[in-house]
Amino acid sequence: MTEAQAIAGCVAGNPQAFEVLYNMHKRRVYSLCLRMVRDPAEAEDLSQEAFMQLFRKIGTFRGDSAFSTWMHRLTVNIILMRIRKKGLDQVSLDQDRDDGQDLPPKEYGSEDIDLLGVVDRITLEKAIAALPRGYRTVFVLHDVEGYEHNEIARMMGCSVGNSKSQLFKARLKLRSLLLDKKPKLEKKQLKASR
Amino acid sequence: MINCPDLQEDVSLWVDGQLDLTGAETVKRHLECCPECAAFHRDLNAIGEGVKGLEPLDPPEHLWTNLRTQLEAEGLIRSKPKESFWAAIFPKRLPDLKPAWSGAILALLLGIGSLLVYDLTTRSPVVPVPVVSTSHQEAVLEELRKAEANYRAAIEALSASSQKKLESLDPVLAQVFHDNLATMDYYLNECKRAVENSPQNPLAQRYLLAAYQKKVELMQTIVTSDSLL
Repeated sequence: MTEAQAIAGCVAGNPQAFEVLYNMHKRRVYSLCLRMVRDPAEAEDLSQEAFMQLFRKIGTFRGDSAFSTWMHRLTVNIILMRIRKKGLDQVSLDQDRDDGQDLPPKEYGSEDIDLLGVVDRITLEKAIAALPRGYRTVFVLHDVEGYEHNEIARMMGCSVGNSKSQLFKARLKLRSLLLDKKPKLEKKQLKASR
Repeated sequence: MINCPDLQEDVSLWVDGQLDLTGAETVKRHLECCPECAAFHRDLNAIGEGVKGLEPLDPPEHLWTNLRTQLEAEGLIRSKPKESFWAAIFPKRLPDLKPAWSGAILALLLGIGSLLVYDLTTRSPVVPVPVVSTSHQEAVLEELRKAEANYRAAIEALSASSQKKLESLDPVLAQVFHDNLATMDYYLNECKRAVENSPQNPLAQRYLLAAYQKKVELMQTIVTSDSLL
């Protein structure tokens, strides 16, 4: 069954079509939810809500954009609504209130340790999960999911400049987290070799 | 004078292609002479590469079950229509398994149908019931019990290996075999009940043994399923 057939089947209430469409998109939807909220139970709940919304609204899908884009946007909106509703530990994007607490210290002339060989998939997932929520949201949307700053700004109700600024801070923080995970021994060896 | 922390934000923008030509030139020149920003640039690229390697994560299996329950509760999908008997036993994906098993099941169905007819006719007062001596009946029943015991032993001997085989098979194929086994068990139980209800009924006895035989054959088919497909 193709995606188009599955969509038509869902509109007609065909159970198999729902399952086909779910299987086509479940991984991407769940991954997005989990990376945005970290908590597996909450990610599961959000995924279910996203698919329910999708199936409720599927009759309104006109095919102006790719179905995956439509579904993805719908999922992001649900996640952002949940975050706003819960008032979780998000970093506001409307105000640049970062006081530097979350950011690594700005050092001049510090040793040149780079991340070569450190950024494996598991380490990166953990580091992303450790980002403060506001940073993580922008980082996941931009760097992982490929949204543009103007789209993020629209979805999050902030300025494009704020989105760019938050992304930069998220990357700084992520780099700092990844460098912290680099084994100390390796750092010492690196120092000795320089 | 270039302030490194400020320029690092430009490095981040440059990586994304968000800087104009002048800004991009400034960043490029700075990276050539600033090891710290050059390292920052390398790290951003390393993170970018790492992000490309992130794979989608699998949701838990029960998510679909929960979702389906909710979809049904809201009336968005119809409850799964009951599959037809043949569709349940022989999915379209495995047409090569159809003829042999459809023959076997058909034979059992005919047998059960015959049993019902036979049962009705033997109860009818106008049809004479064949007179068979008690000792002969007991001998037949004894033979039946022995045959049943043999089949049960064969089923038990095959159950471990067939179960192990099912676990190693493609899930779709394994499900087909599971369904077929369930169907065989159903008919086996029906035949047992028929024999319990009319122990002297030779047709009931014959079809009970046939059901056992078909189950053993199915289990043998499972064990040798590699050669089938």
